[in-house]
Amino acid sequence: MSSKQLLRVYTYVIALLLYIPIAFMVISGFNSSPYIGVWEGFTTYWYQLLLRDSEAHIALVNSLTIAIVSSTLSVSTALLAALQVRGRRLTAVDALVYPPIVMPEVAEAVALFLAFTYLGVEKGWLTVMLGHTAFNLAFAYVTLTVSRVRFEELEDAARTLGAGRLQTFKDIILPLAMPGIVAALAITFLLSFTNFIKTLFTTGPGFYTLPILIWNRARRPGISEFASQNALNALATLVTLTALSIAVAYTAYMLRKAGR
Amino acid sequence: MAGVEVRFEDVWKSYEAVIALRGVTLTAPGGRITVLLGQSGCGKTTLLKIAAGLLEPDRGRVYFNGVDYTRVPAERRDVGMVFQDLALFPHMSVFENVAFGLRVRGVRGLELERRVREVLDLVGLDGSFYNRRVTELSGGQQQRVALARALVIEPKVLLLDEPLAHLDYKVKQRLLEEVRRIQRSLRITTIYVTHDQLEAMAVGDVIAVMRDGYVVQVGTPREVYENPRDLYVASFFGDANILDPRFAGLDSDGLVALRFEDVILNPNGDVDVVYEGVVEDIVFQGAFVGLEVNVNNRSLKLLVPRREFAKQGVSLGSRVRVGWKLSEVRGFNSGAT
Amino acid sequence: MQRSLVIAVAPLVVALLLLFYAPNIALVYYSFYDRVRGVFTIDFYLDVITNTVYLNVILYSLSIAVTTVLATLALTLPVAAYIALYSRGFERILLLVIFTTPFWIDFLLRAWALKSLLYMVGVREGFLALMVGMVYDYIPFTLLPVYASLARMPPHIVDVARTLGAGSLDIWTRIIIPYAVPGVLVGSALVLLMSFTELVIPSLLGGVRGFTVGPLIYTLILAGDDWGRGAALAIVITVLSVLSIVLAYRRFKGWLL
Repeated sequence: MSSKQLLRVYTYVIALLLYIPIAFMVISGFNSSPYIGVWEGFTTYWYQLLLRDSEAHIALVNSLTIAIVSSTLSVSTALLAALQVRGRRLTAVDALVYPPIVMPEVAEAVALFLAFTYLGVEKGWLTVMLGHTAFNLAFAYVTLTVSRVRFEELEDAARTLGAGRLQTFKDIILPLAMPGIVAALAITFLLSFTNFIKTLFTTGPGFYTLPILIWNRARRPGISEFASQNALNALATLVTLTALSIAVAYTAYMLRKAGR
Repeated sequence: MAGVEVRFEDVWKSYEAVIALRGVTLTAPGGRITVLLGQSGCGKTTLLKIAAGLLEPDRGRVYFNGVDYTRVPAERRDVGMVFQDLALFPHMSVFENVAFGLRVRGVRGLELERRVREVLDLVGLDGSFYNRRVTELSGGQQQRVALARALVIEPKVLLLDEPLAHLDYKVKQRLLEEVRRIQRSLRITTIYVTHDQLEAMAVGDVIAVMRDGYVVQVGTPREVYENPRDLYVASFFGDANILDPRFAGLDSDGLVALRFEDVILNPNGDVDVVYEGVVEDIVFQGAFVGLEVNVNNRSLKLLVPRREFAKQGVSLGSRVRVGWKLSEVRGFNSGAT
Repeated sequence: MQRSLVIAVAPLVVALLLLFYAPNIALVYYSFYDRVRGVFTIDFYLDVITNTVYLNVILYSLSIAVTTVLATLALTLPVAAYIALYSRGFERILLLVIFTTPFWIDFLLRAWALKSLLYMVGVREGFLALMVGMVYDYIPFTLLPVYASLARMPPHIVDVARTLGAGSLDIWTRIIIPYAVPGVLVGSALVLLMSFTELVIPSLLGGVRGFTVGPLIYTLILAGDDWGRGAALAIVITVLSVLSIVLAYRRFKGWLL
């Protein structure tokens, strides 16, 4: 076999290996037995169980609301700044924006924990959302400013044609900034929805997001039927599907935009 | 609309640490094309943007037909501008791009359509282009759309910032003619920025040569070419040999300029100064042939018309005579470039 | 500076200050403040840096990180090479999609999925599970940078080299590897930093052998009550991370651009 063939085979093998755990997880979700490893037949029982799983429902709502609020807040705030900064390199703002991205997540989580505890704030939805937002702000800003360059001239052109600030924004800038905005929203939403470490340190007793719930159940599988391994697999599969469908939708949107 | 005179009075502008314009006073006559000519960084684009209202001068004033427009913002100035990178709205079609300025002014429906069609006809784009995305067009076509977009609003002044910069030679020539044609028919005051002296001479009624924020010389193309005020202007237009005056035949100090085409090959007596030399390089340039002749270890460059050159039968290494008239030698007080 | 600019940027700046910088001030504060005795001290730092218990954890985490980097690189380099150098058109897009999709699937879930699978094969929590988990999770992080830097190779350069007489070995060492190096460096730096401070995988898959810096900090802060040392440790790893990024950026800036 030529080196090309060899590499090719190798590549596909690795690709396969990459997905085997995921496939296993998906399949196990249909396993009659609550325990992984022993296949006892096909069932959708675990998915049906999820319908009764109020904890999971609450966790889902929490994750969703936090992600939506956090991404909306951070993207709009970052957008406001990004639009004004435009092509110029405002190094002062850059300097402020990069540390949150560079800092190890554990350390930042600890900082959040200490700050909230010091302030005596009750940990729950609000603290988790705020914790996510800090990081999302930075990420959104970077995402938005990466492709910002050409607007200045277009704005000048619109102005010479008589358009005021508002009209220029509505007709020229917003349509062109849309892909960037959608990207920022999608990314920050996903980052927040799937976030674990920061959430772990900013959550309070009785408050769950989906990742936290899964984590708790993964560590103590025997506690309830809901937490049994394959129930967990079913849940995990659903979460994965959600994330994937967002990813697919996003990619489709980007491709459509690019094709125009 | 036609014939608005634009006057700059002692305009100063700086960015951060750089002074872009130093007390520029200039009048762009109504109904004519005024060219701002200079190298990058000389301030020509800055001056144009000040004319557009996109920038405000730090000092000085701008007058449109005697009315002080200095603080009037771009949106209310009624100027049409074509930008260096065109700045066409990428998400709109050709029609929509041109229509934008009209929509902003409240023009709608049939009236809108009529005016857009008219101007697109004027720039030579037919109906098949209307719905095309601007990003699909060629450079020359995009140029026309940009021009149409600026003209459709019937502006007081037309401002062009290096509009032909990225085009192929032939396309450039064709568009240059069109710009002149359109301007002549509309008689709209036009300020045209470029760094290309040939473009400037081809299109300008008045040329203002700029350098480092100053206006160095203003005049018709002929004036500026034949009577350059200093070495900079002289060497900007048409290439010239920079020589020691005594070598050129003049009894003075400083430096002198002698255009390549003013050095005659093997002259027949109608010159004042003659030297002998050896041909070191021959470059065929189409209508002209460029020669490099070594005269007493000085390198002189000539531009000889093609037919003339063919008659002479000269080749590399030939011994030739070169000569010139003293009246063609341009002397300047200082030799600084 | 124009007013409109300031107004637009202010919310972002204020939000960042409140949500990121203020908490970090608290972090620094607690790393110096002994709550029990009510005094400021540098004992926590001293302890973290000199106490063998902590040092061992740090060194262990470092060794795990380095091993992860090496293993991940070894695994992904051939893949990156294939995709960048040999695959074309549809296959290339397909492969890229295949290898980046895991990105979108939650970190935690992938670790969980892997754990289940390993469990079934008989591999329990421990060093092996830990390493497999680390490598598995970090594959995209070396694959993509290496691919990206290899992809910058002009398409026909190998042919050009051949016409100039270069043999296979020469082509690899003089052309391909130099192009791969920036990507390798970026990927390694990324994975090194991330795996060093990793919390999820060591906890989930490492068992007893999963006590690295991440879990340590977790234990100190959330499970225990030792804020001082936890904070000090958090700051130490942050400083290490930031320093290495800044240094790497300065040193290798030219390579990427």
